[in-house]
Amino acid sequence: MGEAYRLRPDVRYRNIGGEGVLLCQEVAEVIGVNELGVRVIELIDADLSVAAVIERLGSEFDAPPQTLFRDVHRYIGELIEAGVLESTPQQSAAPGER
Amino acid sequence: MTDFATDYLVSAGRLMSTGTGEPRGDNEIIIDFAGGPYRFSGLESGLAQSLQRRYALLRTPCPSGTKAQIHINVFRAESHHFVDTRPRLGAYDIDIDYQESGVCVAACDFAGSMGWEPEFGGTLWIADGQIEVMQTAIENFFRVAAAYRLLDLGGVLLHSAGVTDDTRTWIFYGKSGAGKSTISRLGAKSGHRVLSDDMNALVPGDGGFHVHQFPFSGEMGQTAGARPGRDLCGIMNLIQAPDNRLATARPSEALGTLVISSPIVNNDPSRCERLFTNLSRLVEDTPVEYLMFSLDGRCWDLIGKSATG
Repeated sequence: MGEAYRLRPDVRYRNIGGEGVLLCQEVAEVIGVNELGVRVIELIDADLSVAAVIERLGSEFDAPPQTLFRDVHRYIGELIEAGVLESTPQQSAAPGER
Repeated sequence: MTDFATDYLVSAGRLMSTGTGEPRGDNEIIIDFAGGPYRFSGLESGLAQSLQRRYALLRTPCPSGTKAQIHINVFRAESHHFVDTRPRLGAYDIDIDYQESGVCVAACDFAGSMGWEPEFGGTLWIADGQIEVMQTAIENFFRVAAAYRLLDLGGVLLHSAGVTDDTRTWIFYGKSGAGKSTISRLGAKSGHRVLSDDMNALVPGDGGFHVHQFPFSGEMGQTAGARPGRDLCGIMNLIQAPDNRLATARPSEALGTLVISSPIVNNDPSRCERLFTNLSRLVEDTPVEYLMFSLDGRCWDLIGKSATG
């Protein structure tokens, strides 16, 4: 299995009007998520690895693979820092590491 | 429950595990609030009389044979169950232990548990003390009970100001210090009536959501208003600004900010999905607007003309 993440147990997520709302209950914080962010979170929540997320987004959005690779890793890094995502138990690599 | 409320309770298990105790008296009060009636039994006469005065407009005789929806038994707790909090009296947080089947709550001089199965009910232990202190314990417990009961009904208890012109009713919410009391005072000055400047209940009903004045208000005094609820006309997220403007909030922004303003249940891991569902329905039913408002009071002209109003 490649690099993979999941929502932390205290995080709740809801898609509304094509945008997302993340509630981090432990820190009582709400984060708004745009359309692309919603898709990334949905795919991560569906247990896809980061590589699979990027591949899937490549088929759904008109963007060069290098751009998707860079943007997805940066976004996942932000979500980890915000306390939204954590590594799955199988791996502990930081985003961008291969 | 081992780590629960250690700031307040010597041993939560010892006090609460039996789920019973010695009633404080043989009086009761039945409060007719959204999702109720709420029946508090086991009250001594002084406390019951005080509560009856406090909730005069919401009291209901609950005709014999009619069952209160929510039944809360009040018991006496010996003072040795509680940590001596006198050295740090003042504002305090209620400690809540969230579980799938219910919640336990505790603070200075009281502890309680509440469950949903087989029916919604609770048990409250209060230490001997001044009537006002015991009344506060009951009100804090009532607030928690109402938050969960409203959630079950598809509604929400919202930190908000509720203001009405008796035809239309608006809800204003925002971050702490955003101006709920200020907008309420400006509303009162312009001839509107303030339902509560701190907390209101929103409950779905015929034709949309209804606003129920929660019987505790903030800076504008403690009030208890009679039912029924009023039709919700608009929801506005408050932002103090140099001028007065309205702007549409995106549904995700509205949902996120409303979640933050939904006390008690927004911290409950097992009830959060339900909260999202109820608030999503609310936002769909009544789109949220940002209200940038100044202190000149002209915002009320704007509110009266707003699209949702």
